[in-house]
Amino acid sequence: MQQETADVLVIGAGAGGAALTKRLTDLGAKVVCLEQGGWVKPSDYPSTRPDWEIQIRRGAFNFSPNVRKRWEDYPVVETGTHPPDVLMFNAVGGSTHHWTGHFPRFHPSDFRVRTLDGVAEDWPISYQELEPYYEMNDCEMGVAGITGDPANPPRTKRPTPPLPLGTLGETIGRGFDKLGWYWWPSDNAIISQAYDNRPACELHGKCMFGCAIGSKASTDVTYWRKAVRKGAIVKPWSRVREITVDKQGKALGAIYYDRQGQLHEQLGRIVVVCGNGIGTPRLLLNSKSQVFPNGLANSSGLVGKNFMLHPFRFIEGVFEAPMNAYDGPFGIPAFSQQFYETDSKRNFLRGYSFLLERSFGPLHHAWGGFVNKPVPWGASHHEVMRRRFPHIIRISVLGEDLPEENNRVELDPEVKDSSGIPAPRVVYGYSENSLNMLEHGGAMARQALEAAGALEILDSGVIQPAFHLLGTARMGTDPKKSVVNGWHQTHDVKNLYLVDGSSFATSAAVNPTSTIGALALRAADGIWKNRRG
Amino acid sequence: MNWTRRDFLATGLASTASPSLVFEIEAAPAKRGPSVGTLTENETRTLKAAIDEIIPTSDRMPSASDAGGVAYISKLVEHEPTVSGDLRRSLVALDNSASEKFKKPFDQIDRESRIELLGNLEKSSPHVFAMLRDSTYESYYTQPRIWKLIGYEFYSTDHAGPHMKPFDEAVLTEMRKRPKYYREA
Repeated sequence: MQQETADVLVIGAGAGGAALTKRLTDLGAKVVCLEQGGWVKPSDYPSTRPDWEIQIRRGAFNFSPNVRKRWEDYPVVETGTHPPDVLMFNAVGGSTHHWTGHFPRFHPSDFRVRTLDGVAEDWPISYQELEPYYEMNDCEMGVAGITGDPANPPRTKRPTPPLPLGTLGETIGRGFDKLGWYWWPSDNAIISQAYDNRPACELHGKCMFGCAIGSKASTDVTYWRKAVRKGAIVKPWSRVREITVDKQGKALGAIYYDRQGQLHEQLGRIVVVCGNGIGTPRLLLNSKSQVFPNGLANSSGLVGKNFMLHPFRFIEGVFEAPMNAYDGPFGIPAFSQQFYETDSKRNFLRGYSFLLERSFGPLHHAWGGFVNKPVPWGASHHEVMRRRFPHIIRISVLGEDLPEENNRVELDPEVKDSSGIPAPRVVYGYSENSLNMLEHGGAMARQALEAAGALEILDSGVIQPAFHLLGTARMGTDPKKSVVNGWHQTHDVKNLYLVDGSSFATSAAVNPTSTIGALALRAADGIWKNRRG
Repeated sequence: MNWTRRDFLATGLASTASPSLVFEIEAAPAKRGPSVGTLTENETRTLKAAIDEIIPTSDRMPSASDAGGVAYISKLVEHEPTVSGDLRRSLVALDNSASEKFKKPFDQIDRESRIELLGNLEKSSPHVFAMLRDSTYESYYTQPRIWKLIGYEFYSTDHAGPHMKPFDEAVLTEMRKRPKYYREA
């Protein structure tokens, strides 16, 4: 069934699709968004149930689509020398249902990695160009924080004051001070005061599985609420099979399945794909035609290539005093960028952030926490459990991943989703640079925890890569070396745009959601300004 | 108006939407699968004996079975196909090794021998053993009465959250003195 032509057809209602749609709707565009998941009712989050922690291993709110296996999930085949454990959520709001709320920005140097450090590629845009959109995104999402961080460019007063640091935040802060290392209370997209018709965070914790009261910014309660009021149309349970094109290679719209398996077609004068760093290349590669036999917008052969995930390592310190890491929002109370910028004396380029993160409850700790060191069974069980819980502070080392063509997303020749659409296969391996970086980060995190008074250190080692899906349709000026230009417009199809983590030229060493939102707002301005072009 | 937590929970998101829209509010809660088989009496006895060695009684903490572990894990076996296979394999392995080595069922051998056989299983079939151990932990640490004993406050999101000391800017005194620490580009 063919439907009325939208000014802009958006595919995917996560962080990027939401910001883009709201901005375009404000500018006067008639936007239709196809989303393969549904709306999530806040009271269905597991945070009122005593067995809430089992979602770490199984259940409808598990982080992995391969575990959840909801209708709206598609399987992801995970391979390579370090096969990733891909995390994403499919719903209106996308993976912002499942995130810490940590809201850092890129540094100016992150946009100039080739010029400054001789690796990867420069972005075609600068921090200064993106800065006003970071500010706009902060206001739309609602941020708690405090200005003055000497390790980041200045920014305007945060919409709400900082969240409590908690005992763990104050303790590790003293450790960093002792070493003379930089640290700062992190910006979080979790409001500490009532803001924009949303209630203040009540510090329950558990919000990695979704915030039941709407204080953490998932885009269904921020952007979508407003965009829908202004006339944007979201069509949930709409699984896109392919983007259609005319004989001249112009995008026409999308063919999608509903939950009953019926096919529909939605037309759009402009088509924007916001399907994340795996979903977007998957859709482009599944949209083969006579005009584009290798997949849509893939004349460079780079669709799906240069897949980046942030290398992570977790270090936990066991303290004598209770740290109660389960109190307060899961979002990161503080972070350190002491080792963020390139230092030629180290055996790796670029750098990493330390994230001081809160945690789950007693079951997670007994199972082994983030370091996968289960509390022993038997006679010593109660004693070790009492020593660890709730006495742990965790530092996560989040490193910058550099793009490599061999790390990639492609179509699996056999595995398909429940609608018969070929599934993505992800091939990934850590580089030597990443491994050296994690080694350094692990040693420095240990030092920080010991300076803060830790009695015992538990180390995850190099973990299975999992977080943040980036780089698979990257941005650049050269059509041979990139898939989209600085306005997210594909080099090959002038009315097709890609707006999500896939367009990142590099990954930086920060969580990406703030940058995805800022880029989407900027892309909306560009799309609307150039719509007649 | 500013929304309160109660407003938010009571209405979900539906009241914020344009009435012309159809909001398909559907959270797809975890579905219980069909029963994949119940534990036999023998398996249940082995289970009780095994989990009480994994989490034994201490001066102030109950054992796993005293905290309801047998009923909890029996339900897991019945309804969670992703865990039931390894759980049952662990019980069969323990019983078989007890019969082989001690000519008795696992629940009738002494504690020292049970610990020995559990240790052997942990070494020979770490994945199978981990399922038994982790299911025991799950049965224990999802119980509110255990939370009370270990001092864990749950703070369900339909009730008030914890009190935490508000952010104190004094913690940034040192950092505010520091020079800029990022590269311009």
